[in-house]
Amino acid sequence: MELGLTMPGTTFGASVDRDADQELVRRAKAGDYSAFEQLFVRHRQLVYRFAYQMAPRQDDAEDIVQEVFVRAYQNLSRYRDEAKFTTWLLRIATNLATDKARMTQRRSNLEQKEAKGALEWMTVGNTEDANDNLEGEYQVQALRKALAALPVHHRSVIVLRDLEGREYSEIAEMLGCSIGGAKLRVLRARRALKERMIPLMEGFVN
Amino acid sequence: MKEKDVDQLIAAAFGELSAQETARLESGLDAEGQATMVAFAKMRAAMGQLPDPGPCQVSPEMLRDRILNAGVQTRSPWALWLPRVGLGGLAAVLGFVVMNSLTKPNESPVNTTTPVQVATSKPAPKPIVVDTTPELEPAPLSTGAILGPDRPIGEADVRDEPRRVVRKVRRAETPVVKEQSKAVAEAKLDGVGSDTARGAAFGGSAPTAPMIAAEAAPLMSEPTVVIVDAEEGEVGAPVAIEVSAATEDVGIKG
Repeated sequence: MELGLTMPGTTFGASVDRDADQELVRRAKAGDYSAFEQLFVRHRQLVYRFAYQMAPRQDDAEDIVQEVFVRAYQNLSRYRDEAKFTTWLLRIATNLATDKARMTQRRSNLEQKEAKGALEWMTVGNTEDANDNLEGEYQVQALRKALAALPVHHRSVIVLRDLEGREYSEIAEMLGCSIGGAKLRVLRARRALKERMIPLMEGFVN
Repeated sequence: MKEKDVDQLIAAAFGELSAQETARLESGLDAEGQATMVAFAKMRAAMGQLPDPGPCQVSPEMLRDRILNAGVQTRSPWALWLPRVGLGGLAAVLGFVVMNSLTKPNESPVNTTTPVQVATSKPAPKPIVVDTTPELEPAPLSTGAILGPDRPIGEADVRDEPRRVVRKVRRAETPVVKEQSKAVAEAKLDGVGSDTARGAAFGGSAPTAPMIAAEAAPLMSEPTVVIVDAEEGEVGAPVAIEVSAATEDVGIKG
């Protein structure tokens, strides 16, 4: 059986020169704002891709990007060289996206409760946009719906591992757990995602 | 299918197993296992087809404005060590409370069914002898007369006894003593404090020990004792005898 599998991360993975990052960080810590701007230019797309998968509205994703770099600038003195700068950035992004997703979910629930479900088609809980209708690929749509329906802690590890291609060691560092713990979380998240995709795919087959 | 097998299938579907391991796993799959693996493989393939979100529209200028608006501030040293001091203080208070509870364990709880003995009928071990005028002859009115002849000083009341009227004994100064005290005070105020002045206060003859004589002046004359009815004391409270040795008032109250 040929599945045509490849290693994850080849789609979005970006090779980043770690030494260059460390040098820019050192200059930024010394007060060179242009060095921080260079860091921003180098990594904003990485953060944006992650934020877009976590909060699939463009304005929300861009808001997360800005907030991530603001916090990175404010806490640059706390950054240690043990971790990669991108790992540190994605850790901040994970926390922010998790908070935002929870707030969004709470607000959506309240709005739905007040409107008794009448606003379901127009609230932020609906992740479909105009591009989805044009794509016409049911699998991708199903995946996006299933991803959006996933709990945020599952979604974040799926995005980090399967969409961004991060190593387990990096994910463990971001989540503050062991590598084995990170593998277990990814495994559970994949199972949960599959459970949500199956009904959507069955609807497509039928 | 076992959970562990499913885990292996997921790992294989996402390319996290080596080629040999994947081939060995695929060769031993039944129909259910193959369906599961295909489902995960499709999911993985769909992930690869997710559209790219496009370029990030956040510019360095926007970020700079955001940073400036956020009011980036360096933390002051106060902000760094104040929480630590607060935590230390809290720990100290907790430690004090814990130590206090260990050193002073709770006594037996109050048993409300058993009446508390406020006073016993046994007499006080020894009556208190009050002698405020050692150099004078015994005053005609003694403290025993005030309290009653059959009640020794210090004996406690019990609850069922009637209320007692507390009397207050006031010993007024005689005019002679007042004049002597006034003269001594004036002698002190004029800054001289001579023996002559003090002597004048005591009738022309200078005392050998002027200050002692002035303080002992009330004792040289017979005090006038005035018995005044005072307010009632607390009902049923044990009798406590307090004798003030002040020069003006001697109070006995219950």
